[in-house]
Amino acid sequence: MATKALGLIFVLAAVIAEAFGQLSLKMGATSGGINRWVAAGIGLYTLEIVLWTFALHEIDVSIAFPMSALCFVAVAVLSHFYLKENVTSKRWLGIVFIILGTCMVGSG
Amino acid sequence: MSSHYRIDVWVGLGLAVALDTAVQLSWKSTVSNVSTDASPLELVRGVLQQPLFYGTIAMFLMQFFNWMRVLSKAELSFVQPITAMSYVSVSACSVWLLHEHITVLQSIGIALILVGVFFISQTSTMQKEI
Repeated sequence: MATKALGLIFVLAAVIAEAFGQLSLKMGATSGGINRWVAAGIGLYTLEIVLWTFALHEIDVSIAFPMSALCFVAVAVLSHFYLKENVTSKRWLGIVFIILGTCMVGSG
Repeated sequence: MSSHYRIDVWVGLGLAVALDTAVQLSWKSTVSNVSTDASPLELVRGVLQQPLFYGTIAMFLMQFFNWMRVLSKAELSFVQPITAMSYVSVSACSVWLLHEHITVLQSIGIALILVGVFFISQTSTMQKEI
């Protein structure tokens, strides 16, 4: 049980790393050229690879991979608060479905 | 909506799901070859020593270039829900090939995730019409 909890923590950490990685690349892309945001994005994606390896070491890929959809949630939240992007009610509804689905996958 | 896309878009989408599935299964197989008692450092070292890991990276890169090619030919809001099928294919293949176990509750959860991805993809406004 502790192993599964640890695996789920690594999945969440990998999702957060990817979401911040995407945010960094987005900010880098709007700044133009190769800059510190792009470098940070690449660094975060590398961190995600390591965290995903740790996650797969602890739990089945049939549990971990569907839960990676939480990245849609994290990116929407970060885009809303950091990039001031508009998140529509339909997108929030999708986020609710993904959170419900990942809770069921994680607890099953 | 989908009928105006050429056959190469569909081939690219099929390849995207297949590569996504292959990457995840080979990644899991690579990690599973390392002792469960391994420390984080031993795990990283053990993974880097396996040829399968480099095959996984090669497929990962193929996946990236294939995805860029698909996105250059079709709308994101159309292709994203289709590639979400990899949530199903990875789970199904992990049961079939890696002998993992999926409960009914987890299957329902995967279905809800697919519905969520569908709703999110319907709100995409960033992609140009092809």
